[in-house]
Amino acid sequence: MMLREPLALLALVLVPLIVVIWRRQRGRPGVAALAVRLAIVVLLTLALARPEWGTVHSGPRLVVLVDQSASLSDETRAALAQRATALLDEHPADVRVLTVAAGSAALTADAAGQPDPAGSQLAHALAQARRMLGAGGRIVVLSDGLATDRGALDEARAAGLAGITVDTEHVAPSLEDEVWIARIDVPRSLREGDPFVLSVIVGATRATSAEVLLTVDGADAWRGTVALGPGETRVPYRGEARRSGVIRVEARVVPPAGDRFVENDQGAAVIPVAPAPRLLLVEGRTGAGAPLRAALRTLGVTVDVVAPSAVPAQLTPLAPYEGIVLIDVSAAALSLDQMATLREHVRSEGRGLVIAGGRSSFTLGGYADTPLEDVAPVLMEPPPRPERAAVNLLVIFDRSASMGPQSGASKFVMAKEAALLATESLRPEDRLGVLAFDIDQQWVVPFQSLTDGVSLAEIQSRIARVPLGGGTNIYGALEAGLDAMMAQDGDTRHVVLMTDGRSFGDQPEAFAALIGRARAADVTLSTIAIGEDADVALLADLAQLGAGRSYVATVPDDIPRLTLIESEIARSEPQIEGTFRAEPVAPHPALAGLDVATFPALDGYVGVTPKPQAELVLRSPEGDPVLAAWQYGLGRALAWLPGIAEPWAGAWLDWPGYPRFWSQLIRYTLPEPDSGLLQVRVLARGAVVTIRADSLMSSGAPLDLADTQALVTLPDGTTRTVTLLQRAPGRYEQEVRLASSGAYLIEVRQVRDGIQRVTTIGYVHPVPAEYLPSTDRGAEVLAALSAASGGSVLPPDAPLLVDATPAAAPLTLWTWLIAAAAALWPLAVALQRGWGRR
Amino acid sequence: MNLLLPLGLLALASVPLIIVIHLLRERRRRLVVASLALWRRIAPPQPRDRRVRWPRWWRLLLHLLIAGALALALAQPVFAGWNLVPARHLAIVIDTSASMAAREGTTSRIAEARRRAAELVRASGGADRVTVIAAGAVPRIVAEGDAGDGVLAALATVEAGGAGCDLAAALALAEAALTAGFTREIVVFSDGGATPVPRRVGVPLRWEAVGGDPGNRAITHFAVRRGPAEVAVFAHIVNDDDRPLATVARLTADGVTLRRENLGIAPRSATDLVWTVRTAATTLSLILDGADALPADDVAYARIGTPAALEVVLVSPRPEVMLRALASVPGLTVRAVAPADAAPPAGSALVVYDGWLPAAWPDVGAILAVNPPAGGTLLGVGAGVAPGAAPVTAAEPFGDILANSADLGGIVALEVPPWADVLMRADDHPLIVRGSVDGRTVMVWAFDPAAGALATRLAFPILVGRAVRALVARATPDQVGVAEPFVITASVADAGIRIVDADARVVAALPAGTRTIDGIAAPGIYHIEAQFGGTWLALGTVAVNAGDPREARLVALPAPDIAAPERDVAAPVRPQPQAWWPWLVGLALAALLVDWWRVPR
Repeated sequence: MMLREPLALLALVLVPLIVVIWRRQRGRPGVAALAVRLAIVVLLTLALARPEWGTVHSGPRLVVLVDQSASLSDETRAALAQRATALLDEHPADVRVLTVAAGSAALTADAAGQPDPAGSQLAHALAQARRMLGAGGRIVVLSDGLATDRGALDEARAAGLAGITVDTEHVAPSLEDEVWIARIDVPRSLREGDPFVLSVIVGATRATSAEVLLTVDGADAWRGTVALGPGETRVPYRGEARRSGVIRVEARVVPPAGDRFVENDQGAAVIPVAPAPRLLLVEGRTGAGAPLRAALRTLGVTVDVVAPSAVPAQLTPLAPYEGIVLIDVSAAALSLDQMATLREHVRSEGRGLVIAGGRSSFTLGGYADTPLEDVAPVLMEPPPRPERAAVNLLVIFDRSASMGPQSGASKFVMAKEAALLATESLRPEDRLGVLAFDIDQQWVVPFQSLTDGVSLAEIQSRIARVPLGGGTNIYGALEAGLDAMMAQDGDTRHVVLMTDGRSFGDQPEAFAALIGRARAADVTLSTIAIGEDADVALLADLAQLGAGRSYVATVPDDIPRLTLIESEIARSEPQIEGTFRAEPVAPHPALAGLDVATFPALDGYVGVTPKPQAELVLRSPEGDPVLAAWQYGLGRALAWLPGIAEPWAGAWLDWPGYPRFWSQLIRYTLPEPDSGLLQVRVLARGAVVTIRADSLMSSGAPLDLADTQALVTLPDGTTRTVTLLQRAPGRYEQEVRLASSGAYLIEVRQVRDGIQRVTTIGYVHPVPAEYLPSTDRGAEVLAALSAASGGSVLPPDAPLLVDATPAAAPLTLWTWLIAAAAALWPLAVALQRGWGRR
Repeated sequence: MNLLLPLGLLALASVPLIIVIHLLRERRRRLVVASLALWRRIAPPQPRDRRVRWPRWWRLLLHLLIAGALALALAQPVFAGWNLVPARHLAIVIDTSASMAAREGTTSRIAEARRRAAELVRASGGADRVTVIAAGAVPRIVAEGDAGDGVLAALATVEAGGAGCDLAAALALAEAALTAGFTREIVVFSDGGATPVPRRVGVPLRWEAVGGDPGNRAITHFAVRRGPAEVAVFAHIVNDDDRPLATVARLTADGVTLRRENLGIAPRSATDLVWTVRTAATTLSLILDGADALPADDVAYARIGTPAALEVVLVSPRPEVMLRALASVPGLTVRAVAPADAAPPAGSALVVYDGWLPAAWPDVGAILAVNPPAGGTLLGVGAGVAPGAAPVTAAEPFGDILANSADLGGIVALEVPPWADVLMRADDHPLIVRGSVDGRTVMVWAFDPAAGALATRLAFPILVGRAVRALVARATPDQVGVAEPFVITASVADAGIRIVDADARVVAALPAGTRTIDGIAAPGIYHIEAQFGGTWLALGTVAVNAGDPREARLVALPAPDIAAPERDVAAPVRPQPQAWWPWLVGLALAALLVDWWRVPR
């Protein structure tokens, strides 16, 4: 119980006063009369103190949230305000009104105090209403339900837990004729020199037309009148990233008459542009990469060209290169360390690798069981064929005196060893011939199958017994061997020539004619130059003429291995020739925007098998890989089997799309440009954004105590400098209030111990969501709020305050006290007049 | 005049009763005496004596007046009269930012504000109303009602703590809480520096400045970062005093001092401390030795996050692709089950449905639905969509993972549920949506990762990792300010929540389903626990700090420039119904006294 007017109890001082008066009265009434008098005085005094029994709900019972945001028309907002004001005037003690806008405030008729309509912070308003009610009560939401803040459902749920119901009444938003810039779709990132396509998405509530203006980096880029349908219309634009940095794109639409919001008639986007990549081209033969180098340089790509021997065997020298292209490079031309480094450059460093085919690459280049096979998206296994014809292999080795023992292993012994290995690598149905030469030729093993004729043991014995000879007649040996080979049957006829000498007097034209005849019969020729004194250039030319591979065995021990490679190559038939057109397998980002149907024809490729995890991008009519790609560790690797030029892609050199094709392929493998050790982000919270920079040392530890400044370029071109203060290990940040929407550039410079880092990002401060027509269904949102709190959805214009649930009122006791006093009064009068006396 | 309780006039039935009593002879006491001779000698009353004897009819009238007054009082007459003294509604806004806890002399600023506010309440009349608002970062109404003991008791509970005072929201709340029909006024007790500040309010505003200019030192920032083997620590310490600061900063873990640093900070200056420590502790604290006006910000706490292992249940007829990707996410233990066996235990952290959906969402904290099939009851899924190579636009946490949809295969036409937001889309096709369903966080991928090239890309495990982190984000933040609200992100639909301090004392117990904690009042390390099936399970640990750059400077600032009317232009002066029964009761009491004093018998 509580006393509302406790001071009234002071009147109880009348009690002793009455007793004193009674005692001094002559002929005073009896004690009973006195008691009744006192009782009446006490009752009336207590009544004046206004006692009440029970809890008092002294706050409001209903809070009305009135939507005053811009998504409603002025008329609708005024009608809602009037309805709420009328209710407030009628029930001032029970009702409170809050607005739903950008922030939440009291509803006021004061024009200067009107809420900011650029937002519908429904969650914020619900939270305020909930705090106003405490526990119990009711919230009524009059809104279109298109909230621009999050958490309304959580607030409704919290209200329900507090015994507060949320009733909602949906009010239709007002957007009759509206045109707006919904967004600008841009590439995630670009490299300097990249072409790009962006799309300006223009929204409209009905079919109309409007002028669209596009500026790129402040310069007019495009303008035109666009026909708009209801919904979104895409307006494309093609451009080129001419410089590194950040491209700012701004679009503006000039809407037709009747458009409500000017705020949504513009949009912006930013595109980070990284510097042009730096590539390393590794040429299997000098000049082999010339076409590609020229094509890439026209696109502004920095290209360094090296021979295989110059490929670094450690990661650090490769660090400046974001991508590497191997152009018809044989595994034999690289050391194991070099190949392992290339592999780790992709796997661990996340860089790109393109392996371009040719007669010395992939299976033909001996990649099998090497780190190159690990990194490639293909296996060095020729594609399966229903039936493989027998292989004809001819080993021609030099037995001149110079092949004899000098120091270490004898070249002659190694050559014979190589021939022996060749016998072991062939299948029984294959045919082998072994020809030894000096001035003359000696058929050690005339052509025969390994099962017919002389036994394998005998063949090997004969090879072992070949003696050293005299001079060197390469042409004669080649002529005899090729003629014999051309007489053999079979699709695969391959000759391997090993010599350490020079052929004097023989004209190159004679060799070319000889080998030309052999090539016409599909006979191939590879050469192995033994030692530094060999005619390496001649042998390389012979191999090229013969569509084979040339090797240089600098030490005799290499001879058997190289020969074995050749025999295995011959055995596996990896070289597939014939004119064809590559067929696409599935759309692939590496070929985005390229029409495969326009690709020139190809004349061959290296036969390989794609790895299970690899993507087959292009294939031959037989289904063999032509272009394959895959993710290898942190990087990407891509295999192009035909090569970049002759002999299999000669027609591509005159193709106008050649530079773009290779640029796209290579760029696909390159890592996404990032800011490295200084990462900058912008975290937005309404108009206040936090510029945050996270900085690491190269060891991975956070970089602390650095001087960090951010130069902010505003949409109007003006700049502001903001100091970012350290707030956590390696983290520097500062809050900035952005006055307008649009594209901002933020350049963060960090200096510590004289070392400076710079990172530039773009940030688009969005147009307030209130002005962008929403796809949300506001009525459903409101219904969810009601359901979450145990409330209900009200029909339009329903009465807001339902008296059926009046607030619990306390029990007022003063009426009973006065009634008791009134009942005792006649008794007091009677006792005073002597009633009850004897 | 109106009678609120006309039945009270039934008390007038005592009027005829009183008349009857008066008409009957007054009974006098009968004495038997021996002779009447002596009484005959008594002189009759002189005329002047008659004046002291009230005539009987006056006594009757007085008695009837009393009866009538009581009956009319019972009838509760009201008159639409004019207020002699208009009732007021006073909104008292008390700044509860941390700086108000500063001690100056023998009291603190908040105590001084409470004292002065209580004086205002006591000076209010019986018909006045008072609303008390605690204006912190999130203003709240503390009490509202008649100016009485209830309001005074609630006023006594207002405490300072937490960074910031959102004066704009507090004044908006105050203005909305003021009752129409009263003379309204807002009184603000603050040491200044509140932000944001409104430009104007619609009712009279009075600023009561509190506080002087004591010096202060504070740890305004304290953060840690766990590395592979060490923990990097950063602290920013401010000396907001005219005198240089000499103190010792102690970095402790589980009560053990790891580092001691002698600090010398120039007046009105600051310094940064960085350390690298090796510790297995899960929390660190930094303490400045000595004392100042605001000791709460001389200590700071930080939690060293260690990701706990999460159990993930993968339900799929073909789990290989998702299983491989989930296995690559650190801290996950993945268990694959066939749909027929799918019954994830309640309280599981995350369930992934790949190519299959149950009939109802299970009772788990988070759900990832990949490649949902058509025809289900939970999601509206249509026929497949050609992948194309449309640019992908995505919001956090996915950002720029995918450039275009060419990597995606098996895109399905997903009808975006009303409870979900689109996080990733390609053209008009939603690819990833996320929302909350009955307390569960649900994410839907509207494509089949196994159908396209995505599963072979480095982006795929990154995509999965980010999705998992977004779905099973740490239930509580690592660090919050005093009185700063925070949200529990775990599914706690039916669980009671309690907050336990470092000494295992329960600080607060919250009802089931609470997701927002309105803030913790004192700095320290706190454990948030949820009760599942009778067992209290740890949801997370939160470090609560009082230090904040906005509150480190204690100098009281002048009142902000807020336009307000000088008087309440909307105040009534308009007729207020006046209750007359107290006056009638008072009349009856006065008449009673007169009757008993002047009329002896």
